[in-house]
Amino acid sequence: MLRKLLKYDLKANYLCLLVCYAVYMALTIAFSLNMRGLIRQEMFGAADSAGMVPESVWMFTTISLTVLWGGAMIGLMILTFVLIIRRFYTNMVSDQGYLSLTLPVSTRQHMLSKLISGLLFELLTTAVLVAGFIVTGWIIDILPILSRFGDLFVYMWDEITDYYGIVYYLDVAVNAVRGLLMIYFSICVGQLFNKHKVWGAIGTYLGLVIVLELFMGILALIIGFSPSGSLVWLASLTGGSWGNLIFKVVQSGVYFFLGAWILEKKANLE
Amino acid sequence: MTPILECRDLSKSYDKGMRPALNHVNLKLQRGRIIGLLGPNGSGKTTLIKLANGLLSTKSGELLIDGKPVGIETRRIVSYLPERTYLNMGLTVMETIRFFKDFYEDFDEARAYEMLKSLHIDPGAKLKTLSKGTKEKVQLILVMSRNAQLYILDEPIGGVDPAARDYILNTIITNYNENATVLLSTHLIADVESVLDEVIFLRYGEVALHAPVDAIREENGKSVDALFREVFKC
Repeated sequence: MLRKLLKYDLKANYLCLLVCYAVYMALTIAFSLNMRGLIRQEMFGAADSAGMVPESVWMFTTISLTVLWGGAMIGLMILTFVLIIRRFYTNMVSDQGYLSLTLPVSTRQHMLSKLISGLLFELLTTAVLVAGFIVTGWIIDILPILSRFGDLFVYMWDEITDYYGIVYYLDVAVNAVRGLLMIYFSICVGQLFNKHKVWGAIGTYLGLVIVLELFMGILALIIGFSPSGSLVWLASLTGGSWGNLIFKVVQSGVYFFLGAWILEKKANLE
Repeated sequence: MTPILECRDLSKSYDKGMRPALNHVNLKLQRGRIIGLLGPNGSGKTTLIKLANGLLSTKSGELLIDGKPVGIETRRIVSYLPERTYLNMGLTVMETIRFFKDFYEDFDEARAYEMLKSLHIDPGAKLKTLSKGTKEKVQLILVMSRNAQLYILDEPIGGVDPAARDYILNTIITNYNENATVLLSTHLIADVESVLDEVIFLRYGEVALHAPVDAIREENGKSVDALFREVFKC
């Protein structure tokens, strides 16, 4: 049944996302070609004045395409997130919930399917965004410069992972899982309200964030994280310790099982 | 034989201080019957139906389907038509049929296509392009194409034209097996009276009457519709 649920969860969003990926890549190519033309004119324009484009045109196209490309990048990240949340909300606790919750499928399978599909879409969007940067670098011919940034990123990553080892890799994965489950759980709690279910979900989410931040802050004070001035300190705040990881895994488990239990035993569809 | 649906002292409230939507309901529904669940607005019909499908949780008491509490096992044998449109509007009729076939082992695809053909509904049409009445017909077709043990239909003829009502009622009668029970909630009593074996009158969340239709006619000398109007006179 999980495979079937997953099939429909992926089908629900893939078309919309594919169109958005195509638009983003088209804008990436347009932006990159424009930048390449601009750089070439700036570098070689004096020697080839016959083919020069007026500066005002460059100005207009560069600003427009930069805004569009940047907007598309941010928009794609937001849209992916919105689609994942919308799928859970509409499919589980609004009108479609009348069908989903009466299927001969456990609510844990529903939660798992939504989690897997959500993670896959997040991964795909990240891959498309990275691909966009590579395409830009390739067209503008600045791959060597981009690769320096890549080297810097690898260096930072190595610094952190050398110190913490596998726990940091796991932390990145658990963070992604926990983030989605926290939202799903908040929606499950929100539907318990007889009125204003969406506000209930938003309130639950914000409440959880505040409580967790306070808890982690107090814990940090008690345990006494010591900033050593290195990247390792940064890692200690964002993750990188087994205790932190286990805490997040436990949180994820609570969100998952409690959310599924609420849908199974405390459903409250309008 | 275990009743197909049984309520034991079942209660449900939405808000504290308000009258309960269901108040200590005791019911036993036997197999092979078409049962009308009747009552004015706010009498608790939809609440009872939602509880039977696990879409609401009980406050107190028990609701059993085939002797089991509501859960995955009971969902396999219950075919439910809610009062609202619950399908994914982005899918076509054909894709929705495939969805039902994927999840319900008892779904009869051939029967679904046959009914679509009779009602001149294009299987390739997107659900969002269909009229409200046609969407309701599609939902009813999907629900009645299952070989379920209990069909729970919440206002199945409320949104369709009178001409289609006869077809729908005929669909209900001809598409359920003899051991299955149909629990049907509606305000249009006169339209459904001829197909009902039993009726349940709900008033303020309590069972005011549960009796066979023939007994009502014999004892009261009037139709169910007339009795309903008398009992629930404003």
